[in-house]
Amino acid sequence: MGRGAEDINRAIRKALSVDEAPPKRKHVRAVVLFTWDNKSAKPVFDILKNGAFTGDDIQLYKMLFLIHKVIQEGHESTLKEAIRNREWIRSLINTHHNNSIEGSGSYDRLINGYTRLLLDKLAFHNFHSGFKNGAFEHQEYVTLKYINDPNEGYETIMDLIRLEDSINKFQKEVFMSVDRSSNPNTSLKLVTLVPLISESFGIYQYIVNMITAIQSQLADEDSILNLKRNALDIHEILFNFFADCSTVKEIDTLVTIPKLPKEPPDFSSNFDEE
Amino acid sequence: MSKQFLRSTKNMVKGYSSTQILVRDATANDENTPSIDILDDIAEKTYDSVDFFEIMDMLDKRLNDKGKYWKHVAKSLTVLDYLIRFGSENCVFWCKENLYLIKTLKEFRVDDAIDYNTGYDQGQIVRVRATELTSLLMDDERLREERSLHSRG
Repeated sequence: MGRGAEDINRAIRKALSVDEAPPKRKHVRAVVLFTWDNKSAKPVFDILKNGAFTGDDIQLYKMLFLIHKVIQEGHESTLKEAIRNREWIRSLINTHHNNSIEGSGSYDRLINGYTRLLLDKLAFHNFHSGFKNGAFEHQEYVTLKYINDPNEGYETIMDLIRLEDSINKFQKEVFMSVDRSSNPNTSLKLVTLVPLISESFGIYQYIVNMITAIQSQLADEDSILNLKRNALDIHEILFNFFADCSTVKEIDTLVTIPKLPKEPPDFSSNFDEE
Repeated sequence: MSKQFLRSTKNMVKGYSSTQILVRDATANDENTPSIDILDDIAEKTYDSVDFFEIMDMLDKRLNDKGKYWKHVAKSLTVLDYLIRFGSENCVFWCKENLYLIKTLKEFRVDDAIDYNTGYDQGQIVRVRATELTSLLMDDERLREERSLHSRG
């Protein structure tokens, strides 16, 4: 499998075919590797923008999934490139048509939901450039940086909570749209849950770690009471989300679904022991 | 038998070096797991800078093979895992530099992978190995420990 400029064109076309099936992993991976090899995602976005993928709801939905995966796994310049292309992504909300064949019209709402989620995500990354990794993998220094400035830390946690909310909203929409009786072909919809699992888990870990870190710095614990309350809510929502995912065979075999402890995180203890 | 013969012809026709042939044999599309002797041999060769690049180039090719050749991918991960423990320091640098090659295999899939007799998904082995190798590479502490454990005097 080559990773040159013409191969990337082919990989994208294959990933975004019109049939109602998840993009094949090998094509998605080829696009991800391309961004690493070339340290740039500009060609990827150029192809996406000029490739006429927006005429068909299924292709459009697949494209959103591809963008999400490449932001998560690709070279960090992908994130910057995506932020630069936010207006184009925003325009996708209104471009999709409702004239597709019967059954696939149900992608309508999902496309809107997914586009909004991506925009929320990009807005977050645009504002908090300390998170260079689109997949929210844990990096200690971000936590350390924010304890030095509790105000900024507070804002960051609030924004993380908002992003987590937006993931949860979309996740529920996906589950609601899966109706096996009207359309048994659900694998394309379900596969979009895969990037949501790792991302929401990563964000959750950040939130818990940052609250713990900030708490040890603050004399006045009441001021972050609402953060803690939010974190407990998120714990419960994620616990149920992961439980729902583990009942879906297609997802469960493909990725390891993180196991949250049944007990919510305990913020009551103080970390003052020196 | 014929497959093996074909491979040795291919080795000759394409003019692979002895090092490349060694790696090709270790990651061949058959049932055998690469023997410890071959792994040791390859690890030894990573201390030579010419051999090192030949080895890594070949592994890079094998890692990006398609789903049908999942054995290439699975075995390459086995070889890499051995190399970062027993090979030269350069193997660790290379793997870290190219971590994305390994990391993106965590969601590796084989089309029509389910073995109908056993119900076993053959992509699973690649996914598990890629996940383990990634977590080892990201854990400097553990990596250092593993390497000092195996370092030869």
